[in-house]
Amino acid sequence: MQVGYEIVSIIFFILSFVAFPLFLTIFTHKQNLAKVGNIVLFIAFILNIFSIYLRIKLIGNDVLFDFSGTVLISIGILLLAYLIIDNIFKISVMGAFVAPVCFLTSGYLLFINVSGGKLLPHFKNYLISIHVIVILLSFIFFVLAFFSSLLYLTQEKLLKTKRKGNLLKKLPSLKSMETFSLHTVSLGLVLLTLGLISGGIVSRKLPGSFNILSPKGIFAILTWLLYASYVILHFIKSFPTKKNAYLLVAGFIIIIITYFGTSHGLKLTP
Amino acid sequence: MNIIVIGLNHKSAPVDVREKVALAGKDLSALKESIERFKEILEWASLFTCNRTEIYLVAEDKNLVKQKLYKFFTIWSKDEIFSKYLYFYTNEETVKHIFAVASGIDSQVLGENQILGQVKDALHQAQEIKTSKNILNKLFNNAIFTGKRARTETAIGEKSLSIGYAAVELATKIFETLNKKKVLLLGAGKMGQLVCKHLADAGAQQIIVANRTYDNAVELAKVFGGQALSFADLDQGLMDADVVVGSTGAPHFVLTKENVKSAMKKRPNKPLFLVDIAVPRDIDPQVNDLNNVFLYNIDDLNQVVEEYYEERKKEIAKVEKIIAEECEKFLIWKNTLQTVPLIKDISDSLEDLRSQEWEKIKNKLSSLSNNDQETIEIMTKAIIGKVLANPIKTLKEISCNNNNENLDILEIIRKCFIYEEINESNKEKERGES
Repeated sequence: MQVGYEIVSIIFFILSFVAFPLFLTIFTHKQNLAKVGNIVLFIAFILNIFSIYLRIKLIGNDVLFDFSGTVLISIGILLLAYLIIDNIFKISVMGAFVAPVCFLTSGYLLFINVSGGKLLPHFKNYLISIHVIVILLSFIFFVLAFFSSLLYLTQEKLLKTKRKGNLLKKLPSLKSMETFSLHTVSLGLVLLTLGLISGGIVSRKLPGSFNILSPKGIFAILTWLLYASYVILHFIKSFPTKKNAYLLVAGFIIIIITYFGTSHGLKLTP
Repeated sequence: MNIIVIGLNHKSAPVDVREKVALAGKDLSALKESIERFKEILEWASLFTCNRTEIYLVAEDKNLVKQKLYKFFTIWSKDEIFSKYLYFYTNEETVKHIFAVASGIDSQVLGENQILGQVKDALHQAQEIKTSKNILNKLFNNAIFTGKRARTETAIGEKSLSIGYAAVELATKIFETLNKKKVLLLGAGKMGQLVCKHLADAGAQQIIVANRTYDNAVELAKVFGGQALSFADLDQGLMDADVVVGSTGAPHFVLTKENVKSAMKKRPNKPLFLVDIAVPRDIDPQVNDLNNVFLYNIDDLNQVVEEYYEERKKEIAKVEKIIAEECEKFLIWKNTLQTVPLIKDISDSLEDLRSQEWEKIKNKLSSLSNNDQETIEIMTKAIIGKVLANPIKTLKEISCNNNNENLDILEIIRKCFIYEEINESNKEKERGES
């Protein structure tokens, strides 16, 4: 089972690695390769589901509380979100961000041995499962908003400096990226709020496991405040859009610190 | 049968030469009268545009026609050395030339779409005055088809090479769509109006015209169905506008950085796209340093247009491939024009031969019953049919090969199979009967 899981993970890594240069060709004249990139990412998504299945077989239903498991699920949601969004908004250029995230994270799991401990029985709670899923979903939306803000800042720079070339033509308009960011952040914020509420309820039920003043707690609150201010500033229309885009970059950095920096998994073992 | 084109265009002649024989949009009756004097010309059609004067024709003797037409153009232009500006193409070269013309790769503005309509007009005109027949009708129709193929299968006609179009393209990179967007036009310059027309065509909701002379602004606003604004209310106009087009004749900046900065303070998250096509410039270039403000002047827009032109140039090879394909198809069709009558002539000739021989021998077979005689006659027809089957098949194959040597082969075949004496005697008989 372990061997099968590793083989699937290696194939996933290779596929997402191959997809990356295919998306980069969007900036040249060979746009059809981006379609190939989408197909490759779709196959990678199927493999991702398979690897989650294998992970469940390996460690049981604790996959939501296992670092590798949550990363795999996050990648899966990210891929699914990208494939749906590209189908609706036709922003294949975002694949150039999604593909490297996939191969970097899967490579991280492959080459750095991440082992989680065993979960205490009282943590096996449906509310915790909901909390983890909702938080993961919100993070994925924030990651997509970050990609969109990067595209916005690049396009804004190109328009300001009057650069010629394919990049200007292939990137979506400032307005569409701004709208996309607003939608994804709004959704992410709702999910994050739900995640924090469910987390608060869970922590009250469990003895001494969660402290709001812990680094993870502080960063989670910071993330919420930052994204809430993004939405508010957008609606009061008194804050330049470019500065709002920088807010999303800052938000992404906080997410990375919250997700990877403060702990590897929930570390709920004694 | 030769398909010929004679004429001149922007590549072969400067404008002062081209204007000597310019007939675009004029009455062609005088030209018709002149060309109809040349009895060698079997069909003709003319294509006149602002950059092109061309006569397409079908004639048997191309050298004779060449001589006569060179003389004709010299008289027409009243210029002794006019012939040095003319080009004269025949057959395959002519076909390729008109296909290139219709595809837009022979135009001064590469890939322009107007020429396709002009080729259509030329065909309609020739059909109206009944100077074009089978070959030229087919040639022009195939040229129109090739032009359409070039535009649908390649990007040769994509992205208009105009400053107005470039402004629209850039605006959509900022706003995604121009729907519900307001355009503020500064001044009443022709170029500014043209850019505004492009923006309005792309969906801009309202054009606000600001001019130093308010009455002129009102007049121009009527044209666009928009509003007029006096220069005193420019600050208010700036606050509402999404796109500003500068096109005044003012010798100084009409919009300074301070003007735009104070407007942007009231609308920080609403982008402002400024197009300055005035020379001297209307808008302070430092305006571009402000957040959410994008300023493009005439040189910047020209660079964008230049880029579109480069993109079109990359499509030429693809268009040439389409032209080669269509040219081959046309020449095959043209060759069949020569083989179909030949096949008919051969069939008729052998049938005449058979019937003559049958008539000779028929009396000697009077002892046979009618049914037997009929059977023998059917057999003679069958023999002729079998003898002809292979040559006809070969002729059809020859007609599919676009090769000049085939014309000689066809002539040899004609001599082998057609019995001129029989044909002559048949013709005499027909004359006698009539």
